[in-house]
Amino acid sequence: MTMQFFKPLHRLDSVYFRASGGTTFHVAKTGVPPFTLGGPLQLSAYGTNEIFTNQYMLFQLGYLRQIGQLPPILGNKVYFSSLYEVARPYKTQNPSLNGFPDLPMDVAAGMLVETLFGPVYIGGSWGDSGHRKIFFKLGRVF
Amino acid sequence: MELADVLIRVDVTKFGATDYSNADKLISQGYEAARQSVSDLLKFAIDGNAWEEYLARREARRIKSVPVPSFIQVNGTTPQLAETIERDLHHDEGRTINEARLEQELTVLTGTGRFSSMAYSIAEVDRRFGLRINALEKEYAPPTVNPIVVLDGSQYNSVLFSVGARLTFLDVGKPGAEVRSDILAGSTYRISGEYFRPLSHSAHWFIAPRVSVDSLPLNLYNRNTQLAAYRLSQVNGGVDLGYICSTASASSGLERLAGRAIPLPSEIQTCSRRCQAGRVFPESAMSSTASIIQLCQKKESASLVRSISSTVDRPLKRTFQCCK
Repeated sequence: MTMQFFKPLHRLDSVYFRASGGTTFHVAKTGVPPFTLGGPLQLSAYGTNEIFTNQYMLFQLGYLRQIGQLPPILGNKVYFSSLYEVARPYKTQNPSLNGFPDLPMDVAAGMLVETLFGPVYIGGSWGDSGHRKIFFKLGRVF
Repeated sequence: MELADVLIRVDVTKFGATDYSNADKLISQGYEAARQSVSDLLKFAIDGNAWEEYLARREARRIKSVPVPSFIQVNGTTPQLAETIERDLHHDEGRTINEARLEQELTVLTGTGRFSSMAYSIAEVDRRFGLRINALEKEYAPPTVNPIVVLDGSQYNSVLFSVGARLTFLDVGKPGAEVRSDILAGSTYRISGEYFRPLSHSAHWFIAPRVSVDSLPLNLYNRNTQLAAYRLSQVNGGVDLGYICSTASASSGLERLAGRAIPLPSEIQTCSRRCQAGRVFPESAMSSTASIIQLCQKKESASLVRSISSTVDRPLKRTFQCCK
């Protein structure tokens, strides 16, 4: 389940809050644990699918500021994006989570560009326990 | 050109098609060209009194007060959709028109993909004034086909690329209902479909059954080190029951649920709470791989393998030394 709320602060600035979570209600025989964390906008500093879990919560607080405008033939707006993320993956029946902090968190910053082919997101992220990463993505962001 | 009273030539050879940021220089260039043709333009000059008379005539034609609309009438679309739009805009009945809000509502309606434009005017019927919405539907849509390009560089040493298309049908079975189907090929293979159907006249409550067949890359990383690469094949089915908190029209419900890829401060914000009651049916049990990995986990360092339990098939790459 995901809920998100965007609040324009000014003509150029917006903040948003996103909360997501999932649970199998302690059902263990689900095959691959159905929820993963790690990757852009789900603990960006962590490796893709680095955290598997049967139950988690993820909270994100982000800030967007329009910093430019592409020529209409190439795209639309250019944003600066920053994000704070904190998650709570539960270790219920999932001993593989041993070694991760109880509350993995990170901060991310990057550029979001509306191009002709879709939004492009390029950024970097710094997290706890030495996690850090540079990433890019073309396609849906939010 | 030969019919023109005056022809002013502007030298724009130094500008290209993408010089939007040089608009000021272009404008200056136009003024300069007009200045050079001043003798031709002065032939059409009028004195101050004539100019004032013209301004007065123009001002007299200007509408000073807008009547309060007592009804809303929508033209240019099907009766069912017109009724839905009228219902969505009913809060403008009996009130002074709030132009900013009305234009925003019409912009949102246009953005649903069905209309190429929407305009409004004051109509008089039986000595009653009303708000008339003139909708112009697209000739080529619906259905619409949107290309999908996905480039995922979450791990710069293993970039994923997929292309596909989204086919959207509107008003399937009911005004405001929608069928969306996706097809994707590349790193991810997917065929999926979802049927969005409003449950009530207000279009706030909805039901959306969906089904998809996927073959996804399931790459496992520890920080930036890839531990394993698998593919996860699955058939998913589910039903969403939900309530759309903010709505401007009953059409294109899925589009509104999905929101925009990038939220704009000026946009009407939408929010949704989707209560999922779905199930996931793994295509194959794939338990053998799970047992291998569990065996490896016991033998290898715990820090190497952090997470995976079962139902993964066709391992493409492993870094567990004992499994090589």
